[in-house]
Amino acid sequence: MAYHKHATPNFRNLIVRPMWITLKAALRTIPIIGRSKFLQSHGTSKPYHGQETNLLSDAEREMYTAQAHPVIGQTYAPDRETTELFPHFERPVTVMYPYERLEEMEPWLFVPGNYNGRIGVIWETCTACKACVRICPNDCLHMETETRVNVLDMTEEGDEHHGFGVELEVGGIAARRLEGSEEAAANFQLSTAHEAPPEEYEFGEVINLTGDTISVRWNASGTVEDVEAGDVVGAEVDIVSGRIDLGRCMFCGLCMESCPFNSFFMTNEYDGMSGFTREDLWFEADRTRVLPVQHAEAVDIELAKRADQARKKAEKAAAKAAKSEA
Amino acid sequence: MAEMWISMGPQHPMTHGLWTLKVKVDGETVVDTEPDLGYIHRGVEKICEARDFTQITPYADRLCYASANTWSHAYIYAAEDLLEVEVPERAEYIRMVAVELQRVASHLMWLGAYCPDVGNLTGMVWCLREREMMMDLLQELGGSRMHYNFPRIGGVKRDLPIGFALRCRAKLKLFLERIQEYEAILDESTIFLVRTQGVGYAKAEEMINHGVSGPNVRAAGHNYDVRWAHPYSIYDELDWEPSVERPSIKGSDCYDRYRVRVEEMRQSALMILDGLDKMPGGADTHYQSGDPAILGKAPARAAEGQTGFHHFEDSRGESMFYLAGGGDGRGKHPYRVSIRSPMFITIPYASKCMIGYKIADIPAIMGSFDPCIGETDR
Amino acid sequence: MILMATEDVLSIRDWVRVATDFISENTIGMSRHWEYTDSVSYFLMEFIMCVMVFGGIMTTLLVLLWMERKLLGRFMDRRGARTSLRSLWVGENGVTAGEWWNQLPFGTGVPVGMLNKFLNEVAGNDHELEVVSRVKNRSYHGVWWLLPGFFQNLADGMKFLTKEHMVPEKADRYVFEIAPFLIIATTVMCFTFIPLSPNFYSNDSEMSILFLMAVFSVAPLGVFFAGWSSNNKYTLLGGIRSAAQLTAYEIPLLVTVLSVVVLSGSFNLIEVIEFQADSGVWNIFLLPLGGVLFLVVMVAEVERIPFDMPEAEAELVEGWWTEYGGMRWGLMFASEYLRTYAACLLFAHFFLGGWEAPLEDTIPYIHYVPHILWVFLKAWFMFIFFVWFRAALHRVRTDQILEFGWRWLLPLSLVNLAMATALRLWVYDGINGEWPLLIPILITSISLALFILLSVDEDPEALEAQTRPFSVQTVDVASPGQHRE
Repeated sequence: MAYHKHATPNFRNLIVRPMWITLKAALRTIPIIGRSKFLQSHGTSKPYHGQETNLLSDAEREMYTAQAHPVIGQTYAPDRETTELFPHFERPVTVMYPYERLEEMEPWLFVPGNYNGRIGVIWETCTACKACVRICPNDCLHMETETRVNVLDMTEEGDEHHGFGVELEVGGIAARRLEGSEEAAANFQLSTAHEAPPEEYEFGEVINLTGDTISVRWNASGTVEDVEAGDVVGAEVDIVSGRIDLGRCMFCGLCMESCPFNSFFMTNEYDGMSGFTREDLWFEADRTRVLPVQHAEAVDIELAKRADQARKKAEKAAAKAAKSEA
Repeated sequence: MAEMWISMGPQHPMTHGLWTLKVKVDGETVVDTEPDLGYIHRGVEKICEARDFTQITPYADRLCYASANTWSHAYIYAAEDLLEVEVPERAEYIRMVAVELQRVASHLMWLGAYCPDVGNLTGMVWCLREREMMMDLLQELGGSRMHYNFPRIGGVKRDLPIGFALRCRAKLKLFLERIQEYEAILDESTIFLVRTQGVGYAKAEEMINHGVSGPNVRAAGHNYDVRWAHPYSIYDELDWEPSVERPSIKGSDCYDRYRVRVEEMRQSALMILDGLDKMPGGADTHYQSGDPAILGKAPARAAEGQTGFHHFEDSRGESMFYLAGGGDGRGKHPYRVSIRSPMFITIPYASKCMIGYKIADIPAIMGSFDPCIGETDR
Repeated sequence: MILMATEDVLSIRDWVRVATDFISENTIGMSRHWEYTDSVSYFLMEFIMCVMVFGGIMTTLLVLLWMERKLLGRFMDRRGARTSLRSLWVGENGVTAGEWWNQLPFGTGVPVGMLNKFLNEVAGNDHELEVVSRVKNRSYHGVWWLLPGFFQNLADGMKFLTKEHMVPEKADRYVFEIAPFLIIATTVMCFTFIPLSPNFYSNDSEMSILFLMAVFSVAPLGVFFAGWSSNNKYTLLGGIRSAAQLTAYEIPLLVTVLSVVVLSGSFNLIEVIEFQADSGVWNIFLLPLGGVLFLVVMVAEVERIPFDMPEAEAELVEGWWTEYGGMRWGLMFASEYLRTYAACLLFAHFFLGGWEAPLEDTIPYIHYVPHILWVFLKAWFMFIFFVWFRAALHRVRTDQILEFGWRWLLPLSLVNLAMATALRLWVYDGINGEWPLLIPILITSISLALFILLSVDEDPEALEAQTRPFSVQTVDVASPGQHRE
């Protein structure tokens, strides 16, 4: 009946074996003595704790070296670690959260795109197709309105995709980039900032378009200012803004997969989603926003696609106009 | 002393979940039992009638929260049967890795809960320590530690991450060494043997008549493992064997059920290592999500009259999903989702197994059947 | 009176006597009841000694609880954050509640800040070195780091004082209230009889061991009262199990203690210790079986794992003390540890020579170590075994516990008594004689040999013949209907 080779109820197994095993486990926790061969796993001579294991593949090693990530050179063991200064002192794996974060120590657990964290949306490229709203099993997502700058309007002059955005018109909205917003956006850490990302644009109403300058009444201050044409871009009140009820979200990731426009991501953020009331868990667009600079590739792909579409449309319209003239 | 009914009530440290076990005792001997289930009935089957096929997967995860991947994969195979979908081979291998990792984690959780049931607190901490390694692997693969929503109809959510194969091999090799040590504190401990051998006899014929499956029935000597008897996915291509114990005349006792699960952990670990070697395309290549190598095309609707069925080797037994198409949304929703939970079948049988033994044997016997009330109540 | 075979630096009893004499002479002696001066002085001295002995033991109880916590952690392969150098520092870039050294007046804390910075550079992490970059410019925990965790248990005790005391409505109220008093009172009374040093004891009666055992054995009654009166099926079961278990283990306990008494020739605990001092050999080398028996029986008497069925949390939640709240529960919980402590101290006194230093004649200067410290060190050493049993072994089922007690321990304890009698009558020569050195060496080596023989009683060939672990019974694929024979 017993198939383990030592499993018989005798005196040795009554006291000696279990007490010796637990004593071995206890002695292994002592810094220098714990590494002696005598105490290691039975059957092998490798250390029970702190077996040096290479846990980074070559591709990862290159990637992390390029980023100067602290995990390079780490002697990893699945449950114990040491430092170079004190190689015989093993540290317990307690992560002193919130001062240390697991993503610094085991970055492969939090590779972007791999972890089901809180959602992040690049609203500038969203088109309000509501695929995410439909796919959510729990009705967590809702659409809202927001004033924002569209991706096609975010290009600079001289960019190949420039010029396909919204036209400024009287009574419409103009947006100007805030000072230092680029730097603030680049420095913004989504995972540690438990607040909304910094505002990038200030909005105002266009009053007068004639002449070289544009008169804009800024929403924030109410003053009227004349600005250069190149300083402002068009903006609109978009219905493409959303709100997620994190109280209902089960972090399944279906919304991320359903977005056809590369706009919806699951970030690696696992904290900062707390509040005292249920309403605190309704995250508006500003809390779910992923800054375009952080997913620049996705933004570029979308921008190229839409600029192409707009260009083709313009060419078709021009061809039609030429045809109807001819 | 007179006979009395004790209620090992809904809140109890031993019961491994939310259910009541009413026990009639005569002194210390158990004379009769009556299980009371349904405290966490969440109406999953009814909820699923209002969800798309893709949206049901996260619900399947939450059926048995300790063993989420096995349940979502069980559902996915049934959905693929319903929608008649071809699954690429690489996706099958990836699914196998996820399922077997989850099986190891589930058995470690079971052992980690079984040790304090028989009194040893050290075993619990050691088992959970090993389980953390599996949880880390599952987090890398699936995106979170408990509910992954990993399989998709036609394939998997994403491919093995870069570097996953390396870490998986390293951790599983370490696990195979470490497993010997908590076998030592259990198998080589007279008190554990005295507590579990000769306790909770369950005969194979009775179990089969009742419908018990999985490690419980394999402990009684009957070689029925769905992966072996009716191979699905790529289990017939891997090098493994089901773990079956040879019990005594009186049937299988708690010790046999414990041994079967320990050996199953070993077999699953070896299966994963084998699968990583045999994976088409290699374990180190990484396809993007949605690549046809890991995700096949699947229709979204099932017409009325279409049905899908699959039985699956869950960590606790044989689970089955039956899907009938033709529900709301012109077939986008299923008309009926029927879930057969192995534990729902086993718990009444296990409760009768306890008759004749002492109260102190109740946690030993109940724990050895590995109940998970999430899947029982659905 | 006492045979003062050993000198003690801390002659506490004498000092207290001097003080109470002084008080008594200057108060009673000056009044018209002057003939009671001596008896009042004696009474005061005994009272103060009782309180001091109890106080000494209660404060060192914290050591016991601390030991258990830390040792269990090590056995379970987990260590606290405080044991790692890394955890000395908290906070990133000094973001804590305010670096304490900068808050000290007159800039006295500035060197501490400099030291902190230096240590961060040396033993903190710099990712250019091959270390994991976890710590960057943190500040130090401060002086709180030095406290080793003793006060956790004090805080626990204070917490119990703040909790509500409830009596279940249908419970038998008077019995319910009396039970904790019985338990804790008798446990505390035990400590009166335990001497801590030749001059630091509170009781030196001729029958101290007898009374000690009698008082120790009242606790099962209190446990049964608690279990019965709570009007709760679980506690009833726990109380009954406990009563059965403790009763079953009383007899081996008494017989083992009797064997020590027979060997030492007196029921006076102090004389038992003096006997070990005079005869030159600690009792454990003469009665190793008795020592092991005493240890095992005491583990059962204080209801620790592996014998903790009455309070087995897997089945009975908390067993016989489920319905108690607040300090009543706290006192009963404390009484479990107090009884464990009493058991360890008794083991030290009975078998390990009490307050004698080991190898007194050979190691120079060892007699400068105060006797009370030896007593505590030996008791704490025995406690390690208690904790080790708890970590390594499983819980034994109640009927198996009873079987073990009646079928194995009782006969063994009778054998032990026979050995003790034989030793005392035929081997020991006269009062204040010494054991011939051959005897303890012979006995100890025979016991060790027996232990080793019993420990390797496996037949390797028989085990090899067992089939490999995962054996597949049938290679046929099972199919529906196949099992119907």
